[in-house]
Amino acid sequence: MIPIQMEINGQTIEMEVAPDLSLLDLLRAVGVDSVKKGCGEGDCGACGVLLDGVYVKSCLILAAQASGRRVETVESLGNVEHPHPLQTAFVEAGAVQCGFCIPSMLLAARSVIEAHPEPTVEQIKEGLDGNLCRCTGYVKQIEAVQTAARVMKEEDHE
Amino acid sequence: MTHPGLDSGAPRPDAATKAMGRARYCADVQLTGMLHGVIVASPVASGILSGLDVSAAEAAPGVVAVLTAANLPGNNRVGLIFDDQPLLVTDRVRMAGDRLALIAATTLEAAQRAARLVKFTIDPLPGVHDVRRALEPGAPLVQEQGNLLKEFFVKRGAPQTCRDADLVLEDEFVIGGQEHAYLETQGTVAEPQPDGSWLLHSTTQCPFYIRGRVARFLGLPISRVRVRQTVTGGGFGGKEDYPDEPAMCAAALAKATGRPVSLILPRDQDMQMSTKRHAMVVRHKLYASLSGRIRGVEVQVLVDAGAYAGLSTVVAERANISSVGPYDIEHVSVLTQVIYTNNLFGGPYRGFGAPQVAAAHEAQMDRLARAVGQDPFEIRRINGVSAKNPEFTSGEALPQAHLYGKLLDELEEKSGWKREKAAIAAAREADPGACEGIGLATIIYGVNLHWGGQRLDRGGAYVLIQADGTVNAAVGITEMGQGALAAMRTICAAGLGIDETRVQITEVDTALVPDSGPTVASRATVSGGNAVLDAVRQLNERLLPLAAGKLGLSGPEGVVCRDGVYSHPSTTVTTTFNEVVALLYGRRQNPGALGWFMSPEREYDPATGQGRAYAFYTFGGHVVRVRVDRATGLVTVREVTAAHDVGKIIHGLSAEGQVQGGVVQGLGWALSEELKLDAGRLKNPGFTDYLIPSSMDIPERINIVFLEEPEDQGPFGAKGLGEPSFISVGAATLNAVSHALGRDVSVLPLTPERVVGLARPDAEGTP
Repeated sequence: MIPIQMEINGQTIEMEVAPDLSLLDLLRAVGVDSVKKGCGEGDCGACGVLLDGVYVKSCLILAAQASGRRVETVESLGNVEHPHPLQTAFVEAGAVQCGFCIPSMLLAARSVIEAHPEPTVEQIKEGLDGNLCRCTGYVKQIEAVQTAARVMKEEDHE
Repeated sequence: MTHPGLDSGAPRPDAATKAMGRARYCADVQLTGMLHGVIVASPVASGILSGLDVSAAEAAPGVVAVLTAANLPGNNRVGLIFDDQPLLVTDRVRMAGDRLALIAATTLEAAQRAARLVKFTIDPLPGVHDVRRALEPGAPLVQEQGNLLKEFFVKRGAPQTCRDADLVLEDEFVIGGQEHAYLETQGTVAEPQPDGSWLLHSTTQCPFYIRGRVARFLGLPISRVRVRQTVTGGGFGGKEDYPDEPAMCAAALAKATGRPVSLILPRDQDMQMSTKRHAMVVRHKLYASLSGRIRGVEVQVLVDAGAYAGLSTVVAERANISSVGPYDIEHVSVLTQVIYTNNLFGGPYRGFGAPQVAAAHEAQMDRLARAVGQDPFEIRRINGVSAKNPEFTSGEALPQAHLYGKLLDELEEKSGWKREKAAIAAAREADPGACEGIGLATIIYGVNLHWGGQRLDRGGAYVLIQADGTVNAAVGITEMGQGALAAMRTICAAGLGIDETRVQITEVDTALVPDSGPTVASRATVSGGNAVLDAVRQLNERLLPLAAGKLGLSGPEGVVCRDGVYSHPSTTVTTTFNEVVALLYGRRQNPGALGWFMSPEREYDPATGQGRAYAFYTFGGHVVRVRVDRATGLVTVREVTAAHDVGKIIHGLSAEGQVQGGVVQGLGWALSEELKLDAGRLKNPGFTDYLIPSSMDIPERINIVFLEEPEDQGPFGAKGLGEPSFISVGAATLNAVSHALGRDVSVLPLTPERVVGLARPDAEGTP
């Protein structure tokens, strides 16, 4: 067992984990179950988190590797009372169907907007390439990211 | 005119919960004392299980129970229609993924470690892997009674009289299967209750199926088994009947241990074991005159069922009647054969056999168009059902046959067909190597259950008005991502005349709502919506007289409720929904109603395929514009136009979402999704090399046309849309690639390897 400590959505945890435990399994074990397991091989992208602000697939990272670092999941974006512009845009655009891919895709989308505050369709497609969705055909999700980027830019100016 | 309250633009009721990461899917269910279950499965597709030793697994740390056929605490039977499948193998292995043993342990890791300790010996037997050879004399038998499971027919007119036709076009189409690839894998958490009853938390389209089969497994009356659907992460047909199997496994382990058991399939097992879109071979022969009018069609459909029947016969029944297309043709012969093999387990998948046969009938239509020098739209106008020629393959005169021509007109216009075709021709003129194409395909689809399943074509809903004027509605149809809850909420609110945010819809709990049949066949809006409207009608019969009294009228005729306010043209007095509900409660009148729907009884002759196959139909079509790279075989889809006869839009965002999602899933099936088999074992059981479309693979544009002519049998005139959004995408893509390459194409999927082969100048086939 390996002792680790990390900050998850602003809360620090300390525990001992098996050396082969993935960050995904750790997060789910401590109750952060917005992070989904769709394949466990880094293909589907349902397990994405921000690790020190960088979007990564948590099934491909060992919990021990994330020790001493900051992990953010969709809960850090917003909630029903104070949704993030991306969450609002996804809801209003009809970009959410079964929803399994959505928490992770929102984090990937945030990274897109961080890198490109006024993203083109091509930049959004590239940014969401690692987040498989079987329901929507991605059309409304791309629209939602564009809408959110506009809203975030306006909020920046306020 | 749209009924007030429909298509308000309001977001669907479950979207915010999902976007906040608060939705709880099956794997998120955590219970005190819960164990984790895993399945040990056969890696080979055909053999005899001659040895099974679970002693090391039983002794492994954390293991609480190991089950084999020898100690399974229940009925070792899976079959829903045919009794041809055990839950755990007794001796004969018939498919890769057949279950040998079940393990429950205190952690998932412990269960997985123990699974690797199970020792088994399977003596291999020759298997059947080509559906075309499975019926040959001497072919190995998958099931003792023979490899032919069932046949379906259409016998209409006398096709043999067409043999002197000007044109005979004949080909064999080899159409691949498909993995549903719902992002949430299959699973159930089985929870034994203190009183001996059971609660199951399942990801499913059909909780009533799970209830029935788990009750049969446990030997309990169905009232003692309760299934609560968890938020379901995609279905597409894959969560129709298959979820019963992991549910029975979880129940078996829970029964053996007396503890809750969570059994969630890992992706590779899910892909190997669960049902797939059927691979089919379609032999299609068409007799036509030089004018382009089709005189007769002969079709043979070979359906690769895999080793067990499952619902393959039901899928085949639909493929059978769909195999000619939306055309009025005098002479038709169809033979559909459902055949056992040792390949993947065939089952329901969006379109239910129609996409495979559509690829054949629509390729043939384009070939006919070329042969007689007509445009693909024109050849379909010549042969399509119409007010003048309204008879479908089943012999039914379709009341809305005129909509097919209308759909063609709108699809041609919206897709810019003539302009695009001219541009492609001009590009070829300038550069003979240019490889662009455009393809059309159209379909007819019964958006309800076939005659053979009409006893299940029903729906229930319980609508309860609370004292504060808000409403709870429990429905028997399921949300799997498609937007059913949104549609039910809109229908309920529009029927009562209140804002939809007042209505809370509850996901299915089998103890609370009547068995509403399966949520399949694009029937949720119609069967669920009609049930909701029936409940609303009963409630309005109580509310409207009370409202009339408030308005000072003698009777309720003409009183309407809009946006929560009752009014009548004869008076300026109004009253609110809340005031009327207060009166209802004040008088102690029943504030709840159970709504019910059943589709009309129909007559149909399965020996001839003639009669009323479905209660009603929808038309749909796609135009697909592609660019093909001859060197790499890569097909880039530039633009897709979809047209659907939807009756009436209930929730526009969800309707568009279905169409966009259907297009992209259809393009995946047509171009990149290939189930690669090695003697029945899936070689690509994961998304690394089973390639479903990503955001980078979608077309530059998806145009949508909705035809809104109300269907009398639908709620507010609505029909279903879930499957039609998919069905003709593959066929249109095939036709587009054929157009681009300038040669016949008879295979799907059109993977780069295949397209490179087809693009070679020396490749077989007529240019």
